[in-house]
Amino acid sequence: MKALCWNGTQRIELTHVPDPGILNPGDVVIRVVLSSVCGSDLHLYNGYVPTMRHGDIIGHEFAGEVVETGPQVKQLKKGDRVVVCSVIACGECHHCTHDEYSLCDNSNPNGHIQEKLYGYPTAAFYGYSHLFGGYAGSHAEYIRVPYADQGCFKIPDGVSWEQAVFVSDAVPTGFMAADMSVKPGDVVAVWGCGGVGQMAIRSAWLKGASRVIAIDKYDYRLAAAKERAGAEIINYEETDVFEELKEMTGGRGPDVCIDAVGMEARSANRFEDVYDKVKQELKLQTDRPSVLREAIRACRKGGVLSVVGVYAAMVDKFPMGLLMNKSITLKTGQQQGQKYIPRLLEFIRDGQMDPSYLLTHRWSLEGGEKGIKCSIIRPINACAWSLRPEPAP
Amino acid sequence: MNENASTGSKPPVNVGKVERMVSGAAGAALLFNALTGHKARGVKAAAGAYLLYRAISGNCPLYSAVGKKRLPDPVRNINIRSTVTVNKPRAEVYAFWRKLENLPLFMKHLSSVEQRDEKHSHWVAQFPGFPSIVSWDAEIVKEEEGSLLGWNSLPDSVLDNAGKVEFRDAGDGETEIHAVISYRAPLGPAGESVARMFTPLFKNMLQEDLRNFRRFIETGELPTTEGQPSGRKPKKTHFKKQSP
Repeated sequence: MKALCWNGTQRIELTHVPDPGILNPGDVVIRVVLSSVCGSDLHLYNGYVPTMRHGDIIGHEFAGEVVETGPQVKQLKKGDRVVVCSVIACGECHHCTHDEYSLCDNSNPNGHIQEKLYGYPTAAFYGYSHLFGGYAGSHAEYIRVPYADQGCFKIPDGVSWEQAVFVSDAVPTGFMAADMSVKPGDVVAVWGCGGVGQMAIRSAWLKGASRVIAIDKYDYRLAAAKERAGAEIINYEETDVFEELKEMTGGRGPDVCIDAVGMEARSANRFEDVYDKVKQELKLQTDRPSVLREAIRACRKGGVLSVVGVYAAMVDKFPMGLLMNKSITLKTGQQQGQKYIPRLLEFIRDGQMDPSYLLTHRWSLEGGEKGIKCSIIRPINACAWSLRPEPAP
Repeated sequence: MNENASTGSKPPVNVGKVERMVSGAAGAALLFNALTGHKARGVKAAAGAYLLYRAISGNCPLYSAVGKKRLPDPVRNINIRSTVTVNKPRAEVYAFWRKLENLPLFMKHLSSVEQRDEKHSHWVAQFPGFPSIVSWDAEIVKEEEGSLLGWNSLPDSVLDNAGKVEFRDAGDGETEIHAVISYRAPLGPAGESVARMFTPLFKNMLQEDLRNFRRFIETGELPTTEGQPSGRKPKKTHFKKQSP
C-alpha cells in the first residue's frame, strides 16, 4: 500500500510499504477513508518531537471501514463505518477503568523508554513517535487498530465521514478542554483557533459559558471562530491580548483560559518570540511556552487554566509564582477520547455540533505530501484538511 | 532467601579472597609458560591448572585434606526488586502466577516452565547475549496461599537463584505485586563484580516482566508493533490483508 512516511525534519515522502495485518487477537485492520492533518503532525514535520525514526508512517486522526477483524474482537465486523480515537487504550487497566484513557498503563510497548523521562508511561498514539508507542499512523491506505473494541466507534447514520473524522481527535480534545474547566456562566478565553480551538469554543458554549473569546493571528481562523463557533475575537498581532481581555471582562479577567496551541506557540512580543525560538532550536527547551505565560497572566484570580495544546517535555521561564499567588487551577491532559466520543457522535447526529467545517482542503495521498508542506508555509485558507487515500483496487 | 555458600555438593570455599587472586595470577602465568616455554612443561601445566582451579572454585583440596574449614563466603547475593499494581483481584492474580506454566506468557526470556509436582519445577530460559539456553530446577520453599510465593533453585543449578513474590490487596479489587529475585554469580568475587555491572539490565528485565504480567492478565495480550508496516527496509514477515 501507499503511505506518507516521516524521513527526517521537513521530509515527508509517499512510500510503498507492506500492508498491515492482525498482530494481536484484539486488532482490526481499517481501510482509511479520511485521515486529517492535525497540528501535532506539524510538530513531527518540524522535528520537535523526539524519538521519530526514518520510515515511520504518521497520521492519527482518521475514520474508515473495517476490513479484517482479530479473533478476540467482539463488537465490530467487516464493513463497519468507524471513527478511531487517536489515543490507544486497553480499556482494562486502572486508568482506563477510571475514564483516564490517555493514561493507559498497557498500550505503549515502549513504556519503559517513556518511564525514564516521564516517571510513568502514558498511553500510545498512532503515528506519533516511538516515545508514544511507535504505532504506524493513518496517512496510508490501511491501518492496524489494536484494542479495537475500545478504540473504534461506529459512526451513526446521519453522520458523514467529514464530520466523523474529527471526532477522532480535534472534537474530543476541544471538548475535554471545556469539560474539565468550564462552569455555567463562565467567561472563557481560547488561545489558538485551529481544529482543537474551534471545538473548544463550541464545547464551552455547550458547557454553559456566558462569553467565549478567541485569540489567534490568522484572519480566516478568527473569521471561522466568529461565524461558525460564535466567539468574540482578538487578533494578537493587532491588539495587546492582556489589555484587551481585561477591558472585555470589566477588569477581572476570564474565568477560564484554554491553551489550544501548545509547543510551537508564537508571541506578539518579538523579544519573547525570538528568545523561545532560539532556545527551542538549540534544544535548551523542547517547547515554547509564550501562550502559557500570557494565559497565566491574563487569567482572573482563582481561575482555571486548561491546557490541551501539546507539549513534549521542558519549558523555560514558566511563571510559577503567578500561578501560585493567583490561586490558579491547572487542568491538563491528552484527550480521554474513549470517554467522550459516544456522547460527541450523538451531539453531531442531533445537530448540536458540526465539525465538518474544519475540513477546508482535500488531498489525495499523493498530494498529501504537498499538503503538509503547504500547511507549514501557511498561505492557504485552512483550519485542517484530510488526505483521502484512493480505494483499494 | 538464598543462603550464601549453601550450594549443596559444591566443594567448600576455603581459600581467602587475596589468596585466590594471587593463585589466579600465578596459575595463569604458569600455564602460559607451559604453553610457550620449553622446560618442564608438564609440571608447569599441572601446577598452573591446580592454582587456577583454586582461584576459580575457591576450594583447595590440600587445605581440605589438612582439615581447613569452610571460610565465610566472600560472595554476596545480588538482589533485584520491582513492583507493579494490577487491576485484578488478589485471588485471581495469585492463581494465575501460581500456575508456573503461565510465566513464559509474559516473561520474555523464559522459554518454558514445567511443573513436575506440587513443589518442583524445571525452568528453561534464553537470555540475550547467552550463546545457549539455560535451564535449572527450582523448588517452592514457602507458600502462603493467595499472598506469598518463595522459591529456591536446586543445588547444582547453572543459575543459582532464589526469589519471592508477595501479593497484597490494593484499592478497589486491585493487587500490588512485590517481587525480589536474588541470585549468586558464578566464579567467585570476580564474577560478582561483573554480574553487578549487569544489575541495571536485570532490573529492567524484571520490571518489563512485571509490566508484561499486568498487560497480559488485564488484557490477554502484549502490545506490539513487530510486523507492522513502515518505510524502513522490512525485517520481519509481512502480513497480507484480505481484500475488502
